[in-house]
Amino acid sequence: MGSSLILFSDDSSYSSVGVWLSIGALSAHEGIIIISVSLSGRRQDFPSLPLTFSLLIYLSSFKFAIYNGCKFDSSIHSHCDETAGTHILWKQLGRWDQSYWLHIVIRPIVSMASQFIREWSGIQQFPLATQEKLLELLGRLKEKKKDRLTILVMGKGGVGKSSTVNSIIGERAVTVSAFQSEAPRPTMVSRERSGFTLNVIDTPGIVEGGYINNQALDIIKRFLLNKTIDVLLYVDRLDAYRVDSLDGKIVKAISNSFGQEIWHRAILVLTHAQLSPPDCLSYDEFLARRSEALLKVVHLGARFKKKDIQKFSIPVGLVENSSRCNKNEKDEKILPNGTAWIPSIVETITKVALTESTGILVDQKLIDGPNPDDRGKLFIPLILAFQYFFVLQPLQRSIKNDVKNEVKSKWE
Amino acid sequence: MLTVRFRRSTLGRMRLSPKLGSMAREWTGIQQFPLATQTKLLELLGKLKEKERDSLTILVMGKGGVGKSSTVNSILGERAVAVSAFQSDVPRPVMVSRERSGFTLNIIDTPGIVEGGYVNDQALDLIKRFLLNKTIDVLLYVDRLDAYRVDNLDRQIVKAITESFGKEMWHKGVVVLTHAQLTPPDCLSYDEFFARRSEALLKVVNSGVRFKKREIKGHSIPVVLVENSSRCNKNDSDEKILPNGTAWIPSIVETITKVATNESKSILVDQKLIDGPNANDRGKLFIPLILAFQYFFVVKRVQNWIADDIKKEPKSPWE
Repeated sequence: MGSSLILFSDDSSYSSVGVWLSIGALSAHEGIIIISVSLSGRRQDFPSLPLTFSLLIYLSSFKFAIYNGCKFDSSIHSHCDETAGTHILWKQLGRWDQSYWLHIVIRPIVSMASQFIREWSGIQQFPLATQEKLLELLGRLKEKKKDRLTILVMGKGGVGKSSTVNSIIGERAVTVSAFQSEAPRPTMVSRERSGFTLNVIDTPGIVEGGYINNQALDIIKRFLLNKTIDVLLYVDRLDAYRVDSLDGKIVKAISNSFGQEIWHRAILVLTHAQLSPPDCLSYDEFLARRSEALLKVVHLGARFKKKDIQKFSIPVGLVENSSRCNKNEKDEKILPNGTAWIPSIVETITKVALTESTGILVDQKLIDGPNPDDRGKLFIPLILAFQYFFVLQPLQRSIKNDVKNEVKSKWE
Repeated sequence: MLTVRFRRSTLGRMRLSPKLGSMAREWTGIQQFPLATQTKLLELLGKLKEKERDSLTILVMGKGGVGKSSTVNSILGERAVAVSAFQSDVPRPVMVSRERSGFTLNIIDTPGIVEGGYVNDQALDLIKRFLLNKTIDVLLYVDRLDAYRVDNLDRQIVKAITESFGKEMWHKGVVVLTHAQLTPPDCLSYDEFFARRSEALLKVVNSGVRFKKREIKGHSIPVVLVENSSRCNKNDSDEKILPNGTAWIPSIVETITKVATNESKSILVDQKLIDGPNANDRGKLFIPLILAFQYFFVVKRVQNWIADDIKKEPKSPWE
């Protein structure tokens, strides 16, 4: 699983720093480390307070974030603010009477860390027209009592997922590199604006060299445990000319991991939208054929029935993340067909988020999938009855008949 | 009026009704190029003829959907091969031959050898059968300039080509990057992006072919840029140019010419090359050595031990 439980008894000696350093080195390679700090309530342990703070500073240099254990202590405001890297779960052991001052010291730190969801300052660097439209859409969401939105971004590698996240957030929240592979772990970027929280989860590409990268998929599943997803952005390039079985495999992998219902809340995002289409096709024609080809594969992979296709038609969003994107008079980034794409995609996201009341909660049951032992359970009594009446009884009868009809030999 | 020209090698596979594409038509497409391009192309053809070469066979390979057929059409100047933005590639390899003042240009367009994340062995087989007894002067390995990841799949394609046609094919190889008229991602200039993309791709090619270090230094594979769209920018002479100003049609033909006339030999694709080295020949030289070893060190010893045991055996009373 990649989680290790380390019990540390603080004795305020500096040798324990060595223990922490080795833990820090280990945690760089592990998934989750649960560090339980049990401190005795003796007054002379007060000197361990500087140790705790120096530990916090040291760990933050490794880009660890304080992950608030929502389910362990519901009194702490349940926000999860994670940046790239390993997550450390602070867990308080139950010896409340002895570690009384732990509450005084650690809880404020944790709650401060948890409330530290950054202000969505990126929204201000958008042109005024875009800002207005975005705030209007946020207002619409809040009217319907939705004050947080969690968006999951998935797709192949190198299509523009991280760039899209950066464009929507309005700042360089996720590292983008034209040539390196993506970050091996998912990152969640949270921004807050007038009471509304936007969480965007950027994932590594789940295709690696022609195969589905099951390791990356596992890491994503573990990351998403107990999170609720409102919208799935399935990202691909607009300027790709072939759709093949690999795309089908990706869609199937997503369906197998998160259930088919996730596709009812999905948006197909096509990047590199500022393309000059190939000769003899207009932009709109090319767009129509490209989205048709991709949607066909998505419907196949997600096993949509005909009525599902009409009911849950997956919208298509166009995105152009380059800074050389054309702009209109109001200085908004526009597509070749004239639409300003940032408000357009946020509007599509809003629409999808408002279609159904609750998002998809990624719990262990969803990830594990249906229990294979339950499959066809109902047939067991029927099969037993069939075996009894149609196999067992005839056999017994024919044995008895044979016994009766047997010719008795002379020596009996 | 069709000028039909049969080369000696085509007599071997002549059928009763030869396909139209295998007859060398007049290279009329050259006339629809702007004058400056035409001049340069004819100059390059002249150079080839000086070196006693009157025909050139180019093999175009790569993944699907990268622009192989479009590149062939651009070089020939006409719609010789069907191109479709959404359907799969040509199902079979197609050879397009054009003739100009005694010089024959053959370009072989192939289907993409990658299908859904795997190397399509069936397509590779078709290509091998098509190329039997043809001589390849230049291999064009085509990929897109505007792709941002190079992964194991590219290495597998390169390996498949190497296994099918041998390492020497890459000494006549040219890497062609299509969609060259791109706006590079932010914070990278066009030349920087091009340099990094070609570096990444060449690294994969070198590792897939398993070139040794000295081979890489000696024969570095050239990389050329191509922009097949009709919206390609043009300069004052009306030639199609890349964002860095070069007219790319003469540029790619010049690179092809250079590679065709370099010191490596052209590759004749015969049955032996396709079958690969005979697996039975491997380590044949060791057989007499192993036999000698077995005789002297194993057989003799065991015989000696048996003889010793017989000698030492105590005679039983009933003998």
